[in-house]
Amino acid sequence: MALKILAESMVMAFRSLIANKMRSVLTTLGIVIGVMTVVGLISVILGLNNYVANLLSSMGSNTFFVQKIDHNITSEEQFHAQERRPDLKLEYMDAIRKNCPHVEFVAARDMRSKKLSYGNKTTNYVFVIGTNEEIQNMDEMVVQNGRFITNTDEVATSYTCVLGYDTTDLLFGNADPIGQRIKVDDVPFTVVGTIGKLGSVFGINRDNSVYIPLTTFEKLYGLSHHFTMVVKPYGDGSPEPAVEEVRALLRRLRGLKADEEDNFSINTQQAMLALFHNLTGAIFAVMLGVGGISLVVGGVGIMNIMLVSVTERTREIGIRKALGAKRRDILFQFLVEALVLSLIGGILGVGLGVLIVKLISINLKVPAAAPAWVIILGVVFSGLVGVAFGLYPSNKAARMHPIEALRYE
Amino acid sequence: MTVSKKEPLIALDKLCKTYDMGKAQQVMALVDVTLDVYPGEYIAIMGPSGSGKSTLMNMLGCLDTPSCGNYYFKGQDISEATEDELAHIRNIDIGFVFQTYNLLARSSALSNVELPLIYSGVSREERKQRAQEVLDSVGMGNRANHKPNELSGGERQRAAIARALINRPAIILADEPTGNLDSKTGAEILSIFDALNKNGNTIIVVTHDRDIANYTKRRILLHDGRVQSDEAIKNRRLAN
Repeated sequence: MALKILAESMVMAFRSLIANKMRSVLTTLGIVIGVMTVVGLISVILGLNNYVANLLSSMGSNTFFVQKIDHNITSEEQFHAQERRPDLKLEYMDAIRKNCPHVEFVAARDMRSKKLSYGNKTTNYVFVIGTNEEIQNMDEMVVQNGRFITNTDEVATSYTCVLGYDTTDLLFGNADPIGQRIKVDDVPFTVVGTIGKLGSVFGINRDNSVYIPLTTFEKLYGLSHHFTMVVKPYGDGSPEPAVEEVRALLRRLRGLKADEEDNFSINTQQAMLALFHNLTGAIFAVMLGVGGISLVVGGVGIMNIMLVSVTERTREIGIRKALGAKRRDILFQFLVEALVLSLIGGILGVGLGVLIVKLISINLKVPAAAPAWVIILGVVFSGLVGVAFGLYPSNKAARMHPIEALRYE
Repeated sequence: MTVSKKEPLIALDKLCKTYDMGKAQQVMALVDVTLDVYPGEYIAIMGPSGSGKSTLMNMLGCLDTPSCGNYYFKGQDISEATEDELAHIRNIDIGFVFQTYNLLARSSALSNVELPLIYSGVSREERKQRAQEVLDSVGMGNRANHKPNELSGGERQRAAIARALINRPAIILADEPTGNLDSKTGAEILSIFDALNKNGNTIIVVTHDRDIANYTKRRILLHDGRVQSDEAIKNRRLAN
């Protein structure tokens, strides 16, 4: 019988809400916004976390990075202070290869933005990336035509280059670029190869690029603070032994005393992932807080409107009681109304949240989708808010004395 | 109704009701009321404003409990019944008809009439069917799907009467049932009451109008909360 009354109450609740469409919509707004925000942002953050994890692991899960400037600096003063550190040197790479038995490969990258030209075609600014042969072990680059940079190119500081996918397309179209001479910032280079499509990372197009030997890069432009050594330890275990070998070596090479801190930065993927998680975790927490507050606001809105509704329907409550409605019948009736209101808000919020996630996913090119548990939690929580905040007004209605209620104008 | 003719449906024994108006001020709305109501009776409760007739009706209708004395309903003392117990009695044994109809404005006549059955736990199909039947019986069969604001005063009161009848109650309590109607429509309503009473329904009408009282069979006159007189009507009128 309770189920029957539930069904009846839901029908009555819907009728009541439809009778006051505008008011119902405005009342649920708080819940809709709260749920929408939380669902949307949790999903995006989860998607981001997954994306970054996948990205990092594509380079080999225990690969670590050596740079001049720390990844996790937060202020301009810190940046300028660290910029003044002595630059990392190309010689470190050979030193690492010779002195660190746990290290399998050492690759390196640095980059600047320059314009390229071929004949009468000029590109806009593309990434000029100085790198070495080993980078192919760490990145998903696939050579499509010709070859990549080799050790020989490095030793000879040759003016050879490898073109990225979009750059090849722009300068050569369908023609064969191998052996052709292009100008990188007005300096002539010979094309020895092209690589396949890499796609975008966080909106940065990796196919707008040209790769030249690192030694040539250093000769032309010098090393920037972007210079990064990408170190791959042997095997799949923890990077820590290799990290400590490299750290000790660099400290020695840079003349650091035992009590001085590192004047360079070694970042393992765990550390980077942890940093990323911290960041997103902080956003996550703030978002949950905002969402929670929105839900409370939404709940207060529901309580407010239900109080008004109960007062407006005092006569009706008196009539129902005269006809035999018990306290719990009236309580139930209004509680179900509050529940329906909040559930509708929750479902709408979830719907909008899923939509927002799709939009963000498409526009920012970050793969994100609302997981099922977030959707379910969103709906459940809004239901709970509805019941919690609807209890007081419903109780008020249930306790009305039928005689006084019937006299109400 | 399983009450024998010898036993009263309702027995009030030295009933009183006092209201607390705060600061040791008490209003004695009913004092020492003793009367019996037998099945099949047609009673008018009369009295001027403040005589306690509304309070008496609330007592009879189980909307309130007495301050002292006893209320026997169908032989059971319900003077100290709980709210839920009173609600149950109201649901199955009391049919209210109000001066202002008191229909739910957002529901059709049919939905209004079936309302008591919802609280009785009757199934949907049975509710609809019984509601239609009882609306037919008061001549509102073809207006069942109209909302109150689409009905005339007389039609609304008919719907209210149908609602009062649907659970086959022991008594029908009407509070100035023709108060908001013109004399012609009022007469129609009273003829319905006539027919209901002929059918065996026990009807109690609260009114200040002597003309209305003349349609009933017994008149109880209240004054200052007490029963001043309680006598059968001679030469009662019959509605058309």
